[in-house]
Amino acid sequence: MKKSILNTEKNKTLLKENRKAIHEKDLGLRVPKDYFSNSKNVILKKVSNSEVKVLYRKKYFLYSLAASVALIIALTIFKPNIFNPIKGGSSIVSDTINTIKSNTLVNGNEIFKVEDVSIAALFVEDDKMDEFANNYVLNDIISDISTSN
Amino acid sequence: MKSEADFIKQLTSSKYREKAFKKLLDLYQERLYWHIRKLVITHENANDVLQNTFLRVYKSLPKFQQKSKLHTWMYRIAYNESIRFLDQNNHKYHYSLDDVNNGYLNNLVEDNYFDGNEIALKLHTILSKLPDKQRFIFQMKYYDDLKFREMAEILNIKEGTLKSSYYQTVKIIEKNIINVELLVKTKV
Repeated sequence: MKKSILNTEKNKTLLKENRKAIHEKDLGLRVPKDYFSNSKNVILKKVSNSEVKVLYRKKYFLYSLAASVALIIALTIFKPNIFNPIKGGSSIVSDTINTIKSNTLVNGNEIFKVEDVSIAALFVEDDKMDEFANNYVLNDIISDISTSN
Repeated sequence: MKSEADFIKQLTSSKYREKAFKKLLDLYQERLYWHIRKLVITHENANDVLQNTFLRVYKSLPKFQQKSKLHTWMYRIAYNESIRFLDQNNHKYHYSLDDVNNGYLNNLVEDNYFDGNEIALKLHTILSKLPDKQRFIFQMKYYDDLKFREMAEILNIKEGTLKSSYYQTVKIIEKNIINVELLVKTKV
């Protein structure tokens, strides 16, 4: 048989009265009227509030996490290069164009051609550069011949 | 009829927790209040510490490993909360022999919920002259009716030391209060 931890109602009342009497008469310590029943309600309210706070914090954390994941996915799909931009890429292109523009030997039409080739060359890997240059020269010659004809 | 283990199970189950916690308050609220009141002296402070104690009990119940009895564990939390409170408000509420005991008695007399007679005031004066630990030991044994074994767990002090301190305090009180029999100490 398990030992009971709960006192009988009679014993509980006696204990409470005795405890109160000892503290009041021996030590002169009193409590406000209905203090214990009011205090019980306050404690229960505080305890339930603390539980709501914990739940709210948990949900808030989950919402933040979900929003962050959604943002990362969206950026990965719609802006695939946002996390890995070509360092100094734009400055290389603008420098090349400026160099070509400042060359007075090149006329207006040629600027566009040279610009096209220069920009296209940026995307050609080093080991394929010779092939690219040959093709460009070949196309240029064929183009010139066909134009002159 | 419920065993302590069953009661603790209820306290930690989401289904029965609220009901069991109400029961826990019924059982221990008043006991812990008086325990705390004697440590922090005024009703207002005891009320604050009592609320903090039960909040901490509620939050810590899932981690309670049942190495000690539930009520010993709760007394320990109440004691620690009281000491934390006294430390935080050291300049206002902490009393020791160095303070010539003025803090203890001043706060007691200024408390709206103290109306002790001459004997009570005399007893408080004697208690206020004791070192904090010795006073706590006497109060826990004499008024809270705790066993030395339980007090040893709560205060983390050896039982022998507790006994020696308690009987020494009793002698001091007997020596200083002639009408010691006037003290109400009726046990059920």
